[in-house]
Amino acid sequence: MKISEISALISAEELVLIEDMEIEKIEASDMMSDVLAYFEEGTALITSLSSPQVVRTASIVGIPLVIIVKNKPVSEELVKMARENRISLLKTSLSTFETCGILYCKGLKS
Amino acid sequence: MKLGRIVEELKLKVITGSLDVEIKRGCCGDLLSEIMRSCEKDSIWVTIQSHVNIVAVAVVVGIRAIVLCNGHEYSEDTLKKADEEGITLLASDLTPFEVSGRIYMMLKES
Amino acid sequence: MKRLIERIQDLFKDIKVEELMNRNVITITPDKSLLHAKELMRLKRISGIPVVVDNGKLVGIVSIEDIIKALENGYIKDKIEKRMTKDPVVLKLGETLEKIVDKFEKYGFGRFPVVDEDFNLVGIVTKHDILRALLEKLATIHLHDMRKKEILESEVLPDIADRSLLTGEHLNKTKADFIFKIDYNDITLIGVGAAKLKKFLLDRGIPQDIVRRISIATYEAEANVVLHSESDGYIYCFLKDGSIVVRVEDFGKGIENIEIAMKEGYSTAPDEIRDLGFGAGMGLPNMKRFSDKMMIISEKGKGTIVEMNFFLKEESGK
Repeated sequence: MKISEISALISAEELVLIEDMEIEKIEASDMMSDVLAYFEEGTALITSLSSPQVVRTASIVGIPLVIIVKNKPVSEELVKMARENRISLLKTSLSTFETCGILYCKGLKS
Repeated sequence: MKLGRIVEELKLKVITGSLDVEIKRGCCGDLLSEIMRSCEKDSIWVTIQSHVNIVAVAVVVGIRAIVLCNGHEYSEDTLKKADEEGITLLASDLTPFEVSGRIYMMLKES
Repeated sequence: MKRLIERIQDLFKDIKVEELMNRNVITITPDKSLLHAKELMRLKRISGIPVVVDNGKLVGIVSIEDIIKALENGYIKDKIEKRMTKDPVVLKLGETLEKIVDKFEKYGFGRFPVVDEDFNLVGIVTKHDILRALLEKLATIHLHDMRKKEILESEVLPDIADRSLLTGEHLNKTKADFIFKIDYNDITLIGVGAAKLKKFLLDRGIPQDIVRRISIATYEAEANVVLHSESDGYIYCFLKDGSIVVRVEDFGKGIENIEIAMKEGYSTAPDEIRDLGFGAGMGLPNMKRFSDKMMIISEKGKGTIVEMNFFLKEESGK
């Protein structure tokens, strides 16, 4: 599924869109160690954290897309960091549960 | 929807507690204060957080059941506390994305 | 406290409440239960919570004393609106330190909500906030610096300080190929060292999959220093023939029982760290998982050294 399709499905705001690439795998987590341990390269991340660690972790693991849920405040600095690290950043008002649900129903896999 | 149906459909491991519980909605996340802020009562909570304090959060919010994902295991403390408080503990080797996605689908169809 | 203020009054008399208040206030709405407030206090380690309605107006306060009373009298499940202290004593924007200290002395409360003219909650001031503001003004040396000195002077693990834990060979840390100083004072800086190391290794042409493993394991080691050691630390990286060695050291409080700490899911992190997405008890297990060899040496009060070896050959098996 293309990032733009994901974005439309969850009514997201596109804070950073590096490239409208195809996302094949997606996962939800708020624990950085879990992301570091289990996420394969190329997996998108749904999270309720909007701290700098999210982008830093994403960059180290090779996560191309981070979806921040519940309209968590995203700082300018985070947007800048995402752009520098070539990570697309979406923000939605939906919860993690709803985001997972909607994308799962449309056939995305973890 | 009865918790028993969800357990059956997703083949969840039952660690402790009753399955004769009515589930109205779901939530997913690993940050305790985030769950306290946004989760509603009669929920099933999908997480990878196994720390004993998840039970206290469940009690306060009115969460009826917790699903621990990615094959993580509950500690003895958590089990004991859940028994005392009457919170149902479940476990699965599936990811939080898939567990949330499937429960979302079931709740939507019911 | 008042006497202290009098003595240094000239330095501080102009400090306004907005300079020392904490703007990140944890609040609760009146429709929640006292039980909810109790859990919030425990999770956030605070002793009082301002009660606000949806538009941000302050309507009351719940303190630890209210919770104790509720527990004693069996009404902990009551709604907050029924039991909160209404019309709490507040600080107004613009009030100066002198007035603030007066209020603390007069009422003996541990905290005061700060409101604007319309009684909207804009911050909170605790005694701790005042002390911190005073210390900042005085540019007082951070307490931890003294602690660090103490440990440095007590000969930190002398035999192994310049030897590889894994091979026993001499390691000249000043000549490491990569050195990064870990600043433990700011949790938001976790991962900066690992990201720099990643870039350094990629620039050196190290294969991407190995760089990924190294940077993940280093990120965890770096997070441990910031979250647990209570001291600064260093990341050293040595490029060897056929392998890469990463060594992360701190001078902090050490690990009491390494065997238990290696267990997945075990963590000593408090809830506020867990709320930042750390403390899942996977740090050391992740370092082991992503490195080919790992050795850790630590003693209570004497710091921690983690050394990890990553083989450059394809068949490293990870």
